[in-house]
Amino acid sequence: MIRYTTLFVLTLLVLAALSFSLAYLFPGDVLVNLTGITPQNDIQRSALIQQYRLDQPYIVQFAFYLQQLVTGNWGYSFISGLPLRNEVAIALPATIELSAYAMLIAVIVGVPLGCYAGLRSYSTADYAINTGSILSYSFPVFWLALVFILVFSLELGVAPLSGRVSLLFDVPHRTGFVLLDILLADGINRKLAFTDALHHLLLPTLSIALISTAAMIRLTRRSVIDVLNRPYITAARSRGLSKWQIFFRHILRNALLPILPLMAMQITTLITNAMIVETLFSWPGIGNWLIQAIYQRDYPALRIGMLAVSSVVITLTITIDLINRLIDPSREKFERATV
Amino acid sequence: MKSTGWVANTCKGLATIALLSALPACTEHRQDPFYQTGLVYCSESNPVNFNPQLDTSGTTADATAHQIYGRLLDFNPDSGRIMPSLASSWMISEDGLTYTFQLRRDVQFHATDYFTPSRNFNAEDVIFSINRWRVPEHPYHQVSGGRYPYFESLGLADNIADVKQLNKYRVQISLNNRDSSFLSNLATDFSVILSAEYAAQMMVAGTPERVDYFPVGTGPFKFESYRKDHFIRYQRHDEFWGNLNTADRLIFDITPKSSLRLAKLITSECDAIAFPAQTELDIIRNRPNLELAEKPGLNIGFWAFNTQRPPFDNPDVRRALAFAIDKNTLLEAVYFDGATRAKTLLPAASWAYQSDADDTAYNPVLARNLLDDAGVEEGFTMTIWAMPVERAYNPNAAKMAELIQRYLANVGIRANIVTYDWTTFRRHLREGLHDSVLIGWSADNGDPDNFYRPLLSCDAIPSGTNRAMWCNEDYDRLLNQALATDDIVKRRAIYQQLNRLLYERLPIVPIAHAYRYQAYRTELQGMTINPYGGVRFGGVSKTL
Amino acid sequence: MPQFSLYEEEFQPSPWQQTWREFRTSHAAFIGLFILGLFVCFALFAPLVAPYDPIAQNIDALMIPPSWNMNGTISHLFGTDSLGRDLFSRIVYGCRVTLGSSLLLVLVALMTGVTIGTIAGMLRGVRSSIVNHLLDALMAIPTLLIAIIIVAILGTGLVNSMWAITLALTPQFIHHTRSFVRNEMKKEYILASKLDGANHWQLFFHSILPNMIEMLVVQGTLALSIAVIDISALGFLNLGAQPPLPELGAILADGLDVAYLAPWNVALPGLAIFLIVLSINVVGDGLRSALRKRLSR
Repeated sequence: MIRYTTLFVLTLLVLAALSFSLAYLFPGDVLVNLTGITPQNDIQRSALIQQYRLDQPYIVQFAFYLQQLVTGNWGYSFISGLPLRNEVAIALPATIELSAYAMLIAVIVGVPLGCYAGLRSYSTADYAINTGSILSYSFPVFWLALVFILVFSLELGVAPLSGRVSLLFDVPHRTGFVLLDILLADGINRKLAFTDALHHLLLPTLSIALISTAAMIRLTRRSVIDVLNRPYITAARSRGLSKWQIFFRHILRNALLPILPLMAMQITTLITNAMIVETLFSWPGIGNWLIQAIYQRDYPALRIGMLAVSSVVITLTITIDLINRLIDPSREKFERATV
Repeated sequence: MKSTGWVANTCKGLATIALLSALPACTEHRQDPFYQTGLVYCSESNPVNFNPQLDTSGTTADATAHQIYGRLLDFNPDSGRIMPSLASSWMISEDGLTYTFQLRRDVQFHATDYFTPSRNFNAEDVIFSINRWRVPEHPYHQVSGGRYPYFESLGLADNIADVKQLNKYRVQISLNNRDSSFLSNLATDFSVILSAEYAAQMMVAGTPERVDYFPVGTGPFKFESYRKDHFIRYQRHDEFWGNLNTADRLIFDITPKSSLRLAKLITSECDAIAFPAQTELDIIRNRPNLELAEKPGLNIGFWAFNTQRPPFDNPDVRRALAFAIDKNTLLEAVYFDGATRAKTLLPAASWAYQSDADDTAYNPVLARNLLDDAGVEEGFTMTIWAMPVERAYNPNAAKMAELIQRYLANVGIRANIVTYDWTTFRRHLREGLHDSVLIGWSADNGDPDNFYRPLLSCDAIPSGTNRAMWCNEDYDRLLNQALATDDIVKRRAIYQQLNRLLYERLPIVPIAHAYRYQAYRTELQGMTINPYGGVRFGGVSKTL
Repeated sequence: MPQFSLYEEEFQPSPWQQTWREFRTSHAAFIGLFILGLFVCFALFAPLVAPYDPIAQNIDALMIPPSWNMNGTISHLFGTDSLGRDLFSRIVYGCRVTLGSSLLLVLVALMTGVTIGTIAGMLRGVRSSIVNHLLDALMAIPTLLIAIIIVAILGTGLVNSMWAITLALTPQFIHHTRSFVRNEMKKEYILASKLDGANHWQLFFHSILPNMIEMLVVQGTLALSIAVIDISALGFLNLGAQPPLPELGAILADGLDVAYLAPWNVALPGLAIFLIVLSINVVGDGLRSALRKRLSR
């Protein structure tokens, strides 16, 4: 536990240091990159330099930077002039929401299908599932999303193609998760808004989920097949346990455990895909925000965005590793494998 | 459409099987009456602020001029004549130097979260609005940058001698010199009326710049909220003095990509869109539930040379480059026949249009010879700046730049294409960092002066509308002569002289006058297309 | 004197031949290899295959539909784009750019990864653990984010996006090499070589590397499919290859503007990326199951 906490804190420190060094690495003025404020004159400039300790050694600057991060003063967007903390607070939950639903679908659909394929390995059903998964695993996500838009939005007209909810609904920002916000909102037709939001969620979630589901299927299938070949399964069979008993008592648990750390790896891919899909569906998430920021060379935003996204991913990864260790202490730490 | 068919069919089979089971029946959900209470307009970009006095970009004007604000005068969208607006009538003195305006009574300003008006619109507001850009010592003049590009480029501030209040509802403006385009200028998108009371309150509160970011006006909609790159929300101004048959809400959905705007129009996520791409017009025409309104636009797309940078300070070099490109091809490839070839600055819709004006013709051999004579060697490298946004006058500057790049390669000139985001792009242009730029101009009123003066007069260099950075005394003298007379025949003759001068000096190569299009869903009622400047949603409603 | 062999009748295939045999039994994998080979040929011989210059504009042939369409012509097999460029030629050259740069960057990542991984695997203790944690941190940062940062520092361009993806892929190679080397170091044949007096260098080249190659090939195919997707994604987002360089993702993004009028400009480059990735995945899958079967024999 302590080990994990140290690891976590250290990693965050490394990330913070990285984001601090970005202010120096990015082109342009360090002061502007760090604060997002363009000084109007020399007096203001030297005041800012003093305030941000930029006249002192790097280590002092970094310490001050950390303090600023912790107190929530993250600087301002170079382009919009708004505090970055607010911008991130709006954008990040949108991405997490999208990824969470996609992950949920991937687990709900992928794990059972993968188990089924694994149990019936080398049968026709397995072959079909395997083919389907390798096909959908090979889709470039941006193209898949475009095909979805073309077919479902433009040809069939079943789902809208941009945003989280029709702009006609003025949903106030509370939690940042649109479905929750709608439930908490006053003065709008909640049922109507909720259906509307679900429709907006449909296509982006599916585009990401399809690829993640394929990965889930392949992971689960492989794992189940590996477990099936273990001697304890043969032993269980020879003891005369029924198929279901073997499946639930021995296979499922032992097959799912090794998948957990692999899921952590999937999160990175998932977030990348979510970020790309966001730009196509005008989803107001962190990916869209970061890509706009890079187009407009909004360096303060990039600095904070990078820190925010990687912190979230690291937190998730480490949490999953931790859970994994708690459930199954026998496993080697940080085990990795491939899809 | 046939061409989409085959992709769709291929994908449909694959995807429908996999997913159709997961889809709820949802085509009907947009039938709820709630969806007709608001209009969604997909606009192309972010406004710079919410005061069109401070910015000439069409985006800012669209988001503010006719939505939030009112003007003393307006253009009749059908005839283009000037009609009363906040001024119910006006009088011009014999010598053409004194204008007296009778103001409309009972016009209320917006009551919003941040301002509650205690009085109606009156002469004070008119004087405040004009003096803000006119008088450099005015307490508000320096607020939000202190640049008023439209008025600066016309030199209007210098020509107004005084603005006087005769009584509460009567204002008198006196000019130094006759200006036959003066009334037109007061009717443009930029001559909006601000609230003097709100400005005074903000000045006391120490936040004067809020006036330009949290606007208060007399227009049909009041500002509610704005999120950069996402949306602008407006609410109906219930006390609006004019047409009240307007939707409850107006939302600008900021969507920079034109293909995405069209897609949203088709899925009815937008009710109207800005700047449909020329390539997509047929799609709009072929869809029964979409409407495409078109009018010959008062605009010009051109290629401007930075005449302050050698070798572009040499008219022969500019002439050579003009001869190196084939305008007809550009028209076909970029405008898809949605434009007419431009010979001069003025489109055919203007009364001063000259049909027999001189024009450059495609002649690469001549171009090369001219370049040789001017000492520009093969392999010379220059930049073409392509604006990053779509405008009616140039729907795809990047593509045009690529085409020009190839034409220039044929005459031995290497061209690099440069682009930035719109705000940075215009800042760098103003600083004169470009060799040449593909950009254009949409007129704010039908007066020819509105083309010639802002685009190429000396005053327009600092105000950032003279992209050629070209200053010519003869040109400016002729321009002023044209304004000094009301005689149309005389004015036309002067503009023909100007055309000849421009053909000789070629600071810019006129390329096209594009049609103006507006695409909207048939559910909208009351949409009109306005040849002068921006869209207007006052009086527009929606029935499903 | 003829060589006497006790097992004369039995042919002993090398491990590679065994793998190849197993691989061939899977039709899918074989077809995948064939398609991949085709794309590699495109990449290698693009100038010979492509009928037109991929960036030559032709104003007289704007947006011609593909040849199988009623309005298409056979002279433009896949039709043309909004600037009249031949789409087939662009895709062929696109394979060269996309697949070629992916192969290159995977090789770079592989070599860096193996070097660092081996060092980390042969070392023990604190240093190894630090490397491990740093890698974990690096692996957790999404590729797109690394790419965005690199683009912000160095500017857009194909080479910069290649650096970004290399940086994102290297940790996986390090990880695998490291754990592989660790496991091998515990084995007896290494001990035997050590007793023979082999130094680290010799150990690696003569004992570990030959055994590692299969693992590297499998990891390499995986990385390659990721690299192709990432390169084209960055091109698509306009953060990687810049027009007019024909990169499949960038071609697709170009086609997006005319997605309605000329949907083949979106469909075909996308299909090409999909097929490349699919064939790589199928081949990788086939290789892995062939290996697995061989080892289980």
